[in-house]
Amino acid sequence: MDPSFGFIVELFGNALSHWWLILLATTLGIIIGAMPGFGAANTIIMLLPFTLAVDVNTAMIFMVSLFCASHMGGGITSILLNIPGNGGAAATCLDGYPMAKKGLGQQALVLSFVASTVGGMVTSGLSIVLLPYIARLAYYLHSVEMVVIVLFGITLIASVASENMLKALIAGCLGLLIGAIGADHIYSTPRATFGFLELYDGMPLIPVLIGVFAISEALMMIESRSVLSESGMQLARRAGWAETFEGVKMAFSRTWLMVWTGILGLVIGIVPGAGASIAAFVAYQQARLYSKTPEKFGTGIPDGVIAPESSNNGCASGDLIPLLVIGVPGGTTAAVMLIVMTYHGIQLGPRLFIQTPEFGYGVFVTMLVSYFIMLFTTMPLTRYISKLILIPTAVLAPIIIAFTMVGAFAPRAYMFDLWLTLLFGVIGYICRRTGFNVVAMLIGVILGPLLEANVMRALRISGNDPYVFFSSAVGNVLWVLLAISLIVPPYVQWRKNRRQPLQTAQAS
Amino acid sequence: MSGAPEPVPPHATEREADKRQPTGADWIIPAIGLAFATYYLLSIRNLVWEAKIAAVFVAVVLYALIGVYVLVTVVGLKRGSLRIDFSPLWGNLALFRIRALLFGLAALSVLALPWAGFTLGTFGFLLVSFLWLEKMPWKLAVITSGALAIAGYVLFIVALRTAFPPGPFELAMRALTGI
Repeated sequence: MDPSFGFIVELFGNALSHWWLILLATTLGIIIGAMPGFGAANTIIMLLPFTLAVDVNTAMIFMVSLFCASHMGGGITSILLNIPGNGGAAATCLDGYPMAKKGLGQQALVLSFVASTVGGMVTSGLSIVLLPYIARLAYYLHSVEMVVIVLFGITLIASVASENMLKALIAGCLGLLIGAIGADHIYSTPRATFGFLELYDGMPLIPVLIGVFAISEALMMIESRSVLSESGMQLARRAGWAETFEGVKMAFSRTWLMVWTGILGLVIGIVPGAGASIAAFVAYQQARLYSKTPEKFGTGIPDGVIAPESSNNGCASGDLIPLLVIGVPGGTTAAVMLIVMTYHGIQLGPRLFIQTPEFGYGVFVTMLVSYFIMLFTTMPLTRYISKLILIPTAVLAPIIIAFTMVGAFAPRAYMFDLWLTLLFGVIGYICRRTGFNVVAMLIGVILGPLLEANVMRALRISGNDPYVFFSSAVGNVLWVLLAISLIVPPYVQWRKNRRQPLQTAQAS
Repeated sequence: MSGAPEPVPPHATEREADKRQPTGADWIIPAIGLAFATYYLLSIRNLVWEAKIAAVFVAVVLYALIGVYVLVTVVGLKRGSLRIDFSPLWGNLALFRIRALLFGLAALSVLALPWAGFTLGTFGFLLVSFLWLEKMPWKLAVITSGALAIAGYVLFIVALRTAFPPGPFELAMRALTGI
């Protein structure tokens, strides 16, 4: 069914009439999004008694708003504390935190909120129009292509986020191997569990995230009295409404960047399992590739915050497309939503748009309205939230340790996870001190199970033929891109190193 | 103050003059990678090949990358562009001591959690940290860490229902309020 204009207007009216619910859900979503370990999926699970008790329309509006807001909230701690609230916000640390250290935390927060809103609104608008067409993309990406995408994700991060590609690749591969701990997908045989029953289900992601980011960051930050430089401290103290408007101006002077990185996130989000973390890094890498000043990426520039944040929120729309169109959830939160919607008698899949089109399109209209409302609720708060960074590190570091450990415990309620967090805190500290990229390691842990599941699936389908990995045209193109991403950065660096002594000699 | 420059310890000038990059601490992660990959391969040696192919592939790539890293390091040492130095791992020794103590304190609070519960455990950890790291006055430290611990209790235990083992505070609150 192609939606008529009147039909969409009616859906907007319905979503706007629930503004109070959207306000409540988005506020909750932003708070939980900023807390590592408390994702949207967990919150929806905790609030199941509510979502199951109310009517399906109210449940959908609540879940979708909370889902969007959690994507937006993840960037807050990435920018202010270098601790991503979720995997999708990991790339925001690269330029968001350096901006905050310069005293531009408030502007960075505004950039993140505006980019998230624009990315989310553009992609949910596009989804409404192109839904039946873009959903077909998921059919072209099978297990073979997914294997290359995962490997591509690691090499991309190694080339983008690190000064030393070799070290980042080692960290990424170590992450992939850590992610492959636990029972295998077909025979359920435990592997590399060190005899711990708690690892049979695989390496829990949240303790790794909190350990390598939060605990190690807390240990690193006590090196100085404040995370801010002297001039940064003065700038951050003065921050007021003018800085908020400056951030808005900075963001809208890069409108095209927000739009195309959002669309990139949408496309990546459609691939089931690919997720926001890959989307954000691909967007960051692409923004750097097309930038006039690629060397400034990583030093704290607005483009480095806008690209991953817009893509992360564009991915939120993409995540829901396979859920609605083919009934396959694109991520954990989408899977929880599937359960709630099925309970309410909604049949997801191709028939959804014939039987209950108001529900299918209503999801994206709700997203649009949620992002619009969030723009007005988050903007005034940035000047207050950004003051968090003024707290002396000797006070901030223990608070980070105490409260992020809760996030490590919450998902599984195992004491074991707290010890795991501390262990990864030490590993993260060693990585940071010795130049091994913690982001590459984390992304490896996230993608490890995905790599394994797809390798096994591809081999099963092909009757254990290893050449299956080179049997698809799309896959082969991706292999070539992977090879290029491995060869080009060291080559460019080698040429740069060769030129430098020549230029120095010529200058003297 | 006299205008004469302060004497500089000889080892400091030597280190400043040494333009070679330090290496040593950066072997830890490759060593962990090597050990873990070997353990992983040993743990899957009896499985059917379908269940281990992905891990074997990643482990082999990891071995290869570590091999290249070792090669680069050896060449660097031979050419004289690298020097063996483990100090980047701790940097300033006094700071490293503070870090180790903060980490030890965090480990202690995890250890005490099953008996003290979330609220008292967090209160104790924050109080000691504030007193010792920030040199906060006693009263302020008690009020700040108390307020934070209670806010944590309300948010994580009461609102979000995190299943921490209950301590004396949580049990008393449960008896008093039924929450």
